[in-house]
Amino acid sequence: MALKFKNVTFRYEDEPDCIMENLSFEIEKGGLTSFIGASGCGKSTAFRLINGLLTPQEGEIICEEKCGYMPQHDLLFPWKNVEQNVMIPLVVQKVAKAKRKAMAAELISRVGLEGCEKKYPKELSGGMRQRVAFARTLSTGANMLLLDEPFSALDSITRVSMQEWLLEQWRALDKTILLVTHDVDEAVFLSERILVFTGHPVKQLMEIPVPLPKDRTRSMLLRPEIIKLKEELIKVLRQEATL
Amino acid sequence: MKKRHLAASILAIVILVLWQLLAMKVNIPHIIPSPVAIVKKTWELRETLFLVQLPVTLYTIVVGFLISVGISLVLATAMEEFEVVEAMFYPVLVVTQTIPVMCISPLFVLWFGYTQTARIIAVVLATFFAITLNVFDGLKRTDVRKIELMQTIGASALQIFLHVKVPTALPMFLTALKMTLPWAVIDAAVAEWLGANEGLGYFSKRMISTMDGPAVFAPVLILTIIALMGMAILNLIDKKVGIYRSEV
Repeated sequence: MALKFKNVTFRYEDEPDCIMENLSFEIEKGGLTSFIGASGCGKSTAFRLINGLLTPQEGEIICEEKCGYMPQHDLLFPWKNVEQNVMIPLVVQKVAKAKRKAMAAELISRVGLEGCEKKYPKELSGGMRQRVAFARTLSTGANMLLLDEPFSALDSITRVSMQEWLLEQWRALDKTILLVTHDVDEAVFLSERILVFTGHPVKQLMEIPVPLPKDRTRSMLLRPEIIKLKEELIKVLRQEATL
Repeated sequence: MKKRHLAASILAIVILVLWQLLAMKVNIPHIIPSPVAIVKKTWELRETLFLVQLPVTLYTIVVGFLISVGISLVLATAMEEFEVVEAMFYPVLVVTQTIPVMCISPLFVLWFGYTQTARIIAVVLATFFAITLNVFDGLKRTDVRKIELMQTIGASALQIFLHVKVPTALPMFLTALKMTLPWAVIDAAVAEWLGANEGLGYFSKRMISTMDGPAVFAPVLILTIIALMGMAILNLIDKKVGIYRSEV
């Protein structure tokens, strides 16, 4: 087990209602799990609780892995080039210069950006920027990656290829990945297990396993059982959505 | 860019030529000295202008500007880090920015006499409000999400300050320097008018009493060149380190 929420209750200070109440769930090691839900449902709040930016009023969050957080917008520093951006966590952890250069070079080649080390974020495309942000998340040394709607700002073509890219990375990396998304297709295509956030406050998560192998292809999304699963998921989410 | 430079140069040359023609037509050098006469005079007076007066004025400008930058950086950082300091200083700074420092410069002469200290204080007061406010606004502009990202990595407050806040504020700091450098030059010269027995401003004023038009303008020419050179240096630095201004 990589992460456990045990009877967690959380409320933002200046708001009367709880976001989550007495919520419990577990995340297994090595899996790729999606959090899905309408906006404002608490999925991003769950992330902020996991990475310690927020603390629950009640309950316990047990996180056995080191977490690396990849925010929704890449948040690359425009004053740093690709290499320097990837090295930020290593600089913070005071890793020696030669070592962090070597580590950054390895990560940059892992995300397929060799030759872009000295480029600045504004010279990169949206997909490349996300890959730099992913490399920066890896350089924290985390075993659990928290990806907060990482592809939502990309155009649909780039998003599709980035999703396939992420699957490849996950298969190669042996890391636990948690993904926040509001895109049903993305959740089904990427995850082994989908956790649906419903209700105000969220009291429990609806769990939907995705019956697809690790090395899946996009054409598998056309299987009847997957189409049915997606329809059910959309139905659940529509009940939640307030227009 | 090149075309724009050319256009500006043409206008400058036209103005200079018209000025020259007008000066030749009027032909009263102490009322309208011609550009050529000013340059000639500058050359004639080169020893006193460049070796005696210029170093004095340059010292006032450089020392005043450096002190001003130092105070500004400390105050802006303190305002950003401590809310009490911000609440105390911010409104006061906004108001004091409107005080015409030149008009209170005679006070410094009263307090400090005809000293360089009085003139340096005038330069500091003329520039530090604007630099402080710009640096403070720059620090405040830091993206909260970037700070949070750093917190998830485990960065200390000092690391967040150095790696996120300082780079965010840097372009605005450079803007402030470019904005206030000409003020520093002007105020140093005016402070010399008001109370000095040395420096380019003092020299210019003394030449008025001798009705020597070109000699009044010669120090002004040098001051202008100093300001332009300072701006050129700042622009060069800005092109190197401040280019991400629009992305912050």
